[in-house]
Amino acid sequence: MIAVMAGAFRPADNGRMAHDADVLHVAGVLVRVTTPARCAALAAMPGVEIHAADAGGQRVVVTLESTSADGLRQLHESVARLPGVVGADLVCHLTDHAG
Amino acid sequence: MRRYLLVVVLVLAAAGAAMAQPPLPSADAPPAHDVPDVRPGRSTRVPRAWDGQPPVVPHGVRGLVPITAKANACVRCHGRKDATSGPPPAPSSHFVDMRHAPGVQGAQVTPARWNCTACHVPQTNAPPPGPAVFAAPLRR
Amino acid sequence: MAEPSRRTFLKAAAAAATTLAAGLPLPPALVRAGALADVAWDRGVCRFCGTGCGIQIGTRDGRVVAVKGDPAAPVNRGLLCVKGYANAQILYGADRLTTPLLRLVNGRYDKAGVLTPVSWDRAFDEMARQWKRAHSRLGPTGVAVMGSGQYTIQEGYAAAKLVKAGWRSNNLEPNARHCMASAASAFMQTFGIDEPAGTYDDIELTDTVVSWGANMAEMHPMLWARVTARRLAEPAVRIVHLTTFTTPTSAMADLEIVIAPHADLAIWNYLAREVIARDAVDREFVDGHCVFAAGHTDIGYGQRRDERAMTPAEAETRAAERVHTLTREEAVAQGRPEAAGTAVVQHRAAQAADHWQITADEFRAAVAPYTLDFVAPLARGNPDEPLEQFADKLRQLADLYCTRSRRIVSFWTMGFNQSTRGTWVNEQAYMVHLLTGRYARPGNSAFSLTGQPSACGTAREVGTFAHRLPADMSVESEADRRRAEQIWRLPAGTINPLPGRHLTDMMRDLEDGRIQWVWVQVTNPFQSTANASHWSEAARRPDAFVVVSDVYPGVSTGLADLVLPSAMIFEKWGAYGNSERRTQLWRQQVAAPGDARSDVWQILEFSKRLTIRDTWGAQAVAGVAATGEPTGHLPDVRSGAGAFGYRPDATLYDVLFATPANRAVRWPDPVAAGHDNDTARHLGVTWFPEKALFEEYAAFGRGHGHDLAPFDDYFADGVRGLRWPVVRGQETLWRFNVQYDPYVTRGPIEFYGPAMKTLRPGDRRGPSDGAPQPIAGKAKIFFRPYAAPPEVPDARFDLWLSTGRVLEHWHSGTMTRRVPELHKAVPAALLYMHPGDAAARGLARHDAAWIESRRGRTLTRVETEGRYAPPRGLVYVPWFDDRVLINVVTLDAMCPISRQTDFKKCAVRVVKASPPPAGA
Repeated sequence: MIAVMAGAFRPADNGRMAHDADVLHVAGVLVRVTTPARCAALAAMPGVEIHAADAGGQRVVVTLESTSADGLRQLHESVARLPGVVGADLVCHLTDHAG
Repeated sequence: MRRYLLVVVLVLAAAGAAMAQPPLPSADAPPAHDVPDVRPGRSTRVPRAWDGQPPVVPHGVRGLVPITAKANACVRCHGRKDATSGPPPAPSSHFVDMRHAPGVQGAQVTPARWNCTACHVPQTNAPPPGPAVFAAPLRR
Repeated sequence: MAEPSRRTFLKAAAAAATTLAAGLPLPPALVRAGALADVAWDRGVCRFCGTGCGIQIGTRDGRVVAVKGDPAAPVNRGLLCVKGYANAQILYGADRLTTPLLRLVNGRYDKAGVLTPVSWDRAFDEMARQWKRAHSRLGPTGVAVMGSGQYTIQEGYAAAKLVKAGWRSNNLEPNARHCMASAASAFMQTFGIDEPAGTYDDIELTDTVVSWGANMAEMHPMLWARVTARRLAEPAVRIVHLTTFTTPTSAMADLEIVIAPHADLAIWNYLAREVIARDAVDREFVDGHCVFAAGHTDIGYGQRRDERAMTPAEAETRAAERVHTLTREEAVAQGRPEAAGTAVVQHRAAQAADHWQITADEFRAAVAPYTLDFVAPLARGNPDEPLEQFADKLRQLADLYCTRSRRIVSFWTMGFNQSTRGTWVNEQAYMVHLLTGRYARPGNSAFSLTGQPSACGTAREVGTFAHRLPADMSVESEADRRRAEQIWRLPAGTINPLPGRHLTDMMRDLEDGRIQWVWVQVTNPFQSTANASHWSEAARRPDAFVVVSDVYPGVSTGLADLVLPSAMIFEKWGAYGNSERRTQLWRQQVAAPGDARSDVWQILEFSKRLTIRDTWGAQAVAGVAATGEPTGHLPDVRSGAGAFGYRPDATLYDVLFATPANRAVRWPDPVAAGHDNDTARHLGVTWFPEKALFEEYAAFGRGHGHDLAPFDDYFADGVRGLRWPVVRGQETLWRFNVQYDPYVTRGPIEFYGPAMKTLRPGDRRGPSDGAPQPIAGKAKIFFRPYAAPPEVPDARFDLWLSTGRVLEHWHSGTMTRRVPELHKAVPAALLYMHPGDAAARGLARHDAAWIESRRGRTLTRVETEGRYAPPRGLVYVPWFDDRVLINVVTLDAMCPISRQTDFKKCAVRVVKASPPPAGA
């Protein structure tokens, strides 16, 4: 079941951290690259998948996945820091709880 | 699901011991949060939580509100239909008068949608809500 | 890890959303898996305010995933406000209540215990046990239900039938007592029937919109969108906003008039005087359709009249219940022989609702003192505004009302209703509109806006009040009781003729141990009731058993002995009725989480725990002797039960709900179009509870001016609610007008409401001995004087406090504060204050400060900027935040006629908070 709001919360410390093993975090990110060739490095990263691109190959629709919100954030930062990546705009962040 | 339920129950049960007190005004004033004073054009769009949600205003609105009958800073920037650069234009739905001319794309933002801030709200830097905040008993 | 298919779906959804956001065309693979593909849409109505916007709810895989404004809905034509868009998200806060919780120690109920999960059976066991304890000790007046203007129609009706027909108690009250009671009592007194004559359609037809204290831009945003559209489309349209502080509504107004609290009472009389002086009276309308009336003045302020349960500080204000010191303005405004400074005994509290007919000359003489010179200084709300400038604004307002050709819609909500003279000021709005013939006519309306989504549809129309029966009927009328007993198939004499306790008195009775069992449904009264410290103490009494049915934890669940998890809107079938008499129905869309169950299920299931043997025997009820029961008891009606085929041990469920007529309303039903009904499923029945209850209820109003259409009609294509009375399939847009209302038999205008249509004659001072005269078909133009509030700022408590809402939050915040966008927009209730007032108290913006009254204090932070700009001398604090429990500060004074609390004015001081001690 998609929990597009509630499950995405991480209240400070009320003992719910153990819950995360069952959670999938997926982000949709619009990545801008200097040249289409840069996409290879992007696609090679674990947790990153390319879905679509514009005609010039410089705007790329990418999903990131992780089992935690922190992991997703780190993955996003790694993508943004790749050589040749000039932008990585987060468009949406979906969370899924088992059950 | 069961684990989720159990955790919620434990939270409530733990809070329940303290809930037996009569609720009284909090001993600490809630923290103050402001809308960060990021100027339009310098902010990052905030992803929508679900498809169709009106986007929140990602920039500060100091000096840009209130909207009056004569002046609407939002529309001044976002009311330029079909703009391909600069402030994102309002979607085509915002140019249709659904009450009087539902099939017609107008040139201006339709008057019924003049009060942008009824749907699009700026965000303070407050952390997202969580259950502990609301279940907390009030202490004298 | 999520299953592969779910992972794929999620990634496709995210990719589709991103592609669309980038403005790229969707590749076919993504189109199929697009984020809104496979969403099922169905009609619904917004959970929040009394506007009643039509929505479309999008569901997929058993969850609500999206919401949109319904383009087909006449109310809002596809628009929603930010709360309306949150209708999907409110269901999914992380801490939804999903299991009954009972305070246990060692497995046994104990008020000192911890809230522990229990089964529904165990919950009802304890609930019934406690009910019988309270009932055996105290009778039907010892138990109570605190219900809501957010009950669905079916929930409110089931509750009313259970309480009144089953328990023979009249202790059922909605939180709408604090929302619309003044409006309802004014409608009944003025027109003899409740609810507005006009509809929202008047907005598109009018030339003038006057908002009297209603911050419509935030509180009825989609109506304000319609007003704005009208204003922008027609340059001659004028918008006026009278208010005690500047709000976002002021920004759209052509004329903002900042008034002092309670000044509305004086301003209306000034307008009436001007209308007469400038010959703007619609003589034909007044002579043909109206009479003049007056009532008592010294009616007190609805506080406790005894010495109980008050601190010395509280006693200061409570003294006004006995004796009020006449102010200089009152001496003039009330045309009294007594001089200012006289102590006037408030001896008419018990006759507050009495009224009689006066002559037109008497009326003219009564409004004569309300000259501009008298009213302007009294009414000016901003001490920094030059008096002449303020007076000129009042003149402009009078110009509008005195221009005969101008169509005018006057809007109001809580500024009028939540006032110690709320009924009076509502009646004054009708006074000017009736004098100028601006009522029951297109484009001309005195429109009482409703706050809650179904204060009209449920609380008022179903009659979930201590004195009410459905369709405007009253327990005090024998004819009405007989009619209800006939429809409900009850032995004659079942219904208790003595009204129950109004909502604040329920709390007072809880405090005194006179009510020992309370069931709270769809409301959060321990946060919302004025003078809140008293009631939280009351709930803690050892002899009190408090059950709270709710959806999220909050202040009231925190005080409860038993918490029952409830289904939210769209997790059950339901119906709401909005401000313009539009009844709207919806199907169940998704299941409630965990063991949460609909309120209808809870009421019906609990009704199985009591039999007519328990409740229909003779019951001693204090005060009932005065209603004609010489024994001082409600009669034993059990012997009459047999005549209806009820067994002696029949449960209330058998007698009230699982009736042959209801069981004939079958489930499944084609109108369901494949949607579930978890109420029926959990009850284990093959009849359709929500439809059966709706149709049974509708029988009360059909043919009596409250006609609802058949249940199925509300689900027809293209129908988005129907405005009653619905006669021969036609809505009624303008009641009382022969061109539009089929109930009018003698046109052009007939105020056919039946209540209180016989009036004694009298003069301003009181009724005379003359015989009562019938005034069928007429409305009353009331003279009501200006009166001062019971507590005003003084040297010690030197500021006015007004309370209310904000756009982003609904009521006590339990739903909206769990939606991230709404929470982050307004995360805390602040103390909105003039920068000069703050500086004078050594306060800077965002400083922590105590706001304190004679009753209590709460801590919050000062805000001197932003959307509100109070004048010097007044502060505003919204009540949505349970960390800023502003109702421990407010005063439980009320309109003595309506018993609605005045949340808009009391006296406070604001003091900088000292930092916490070191080490704390």
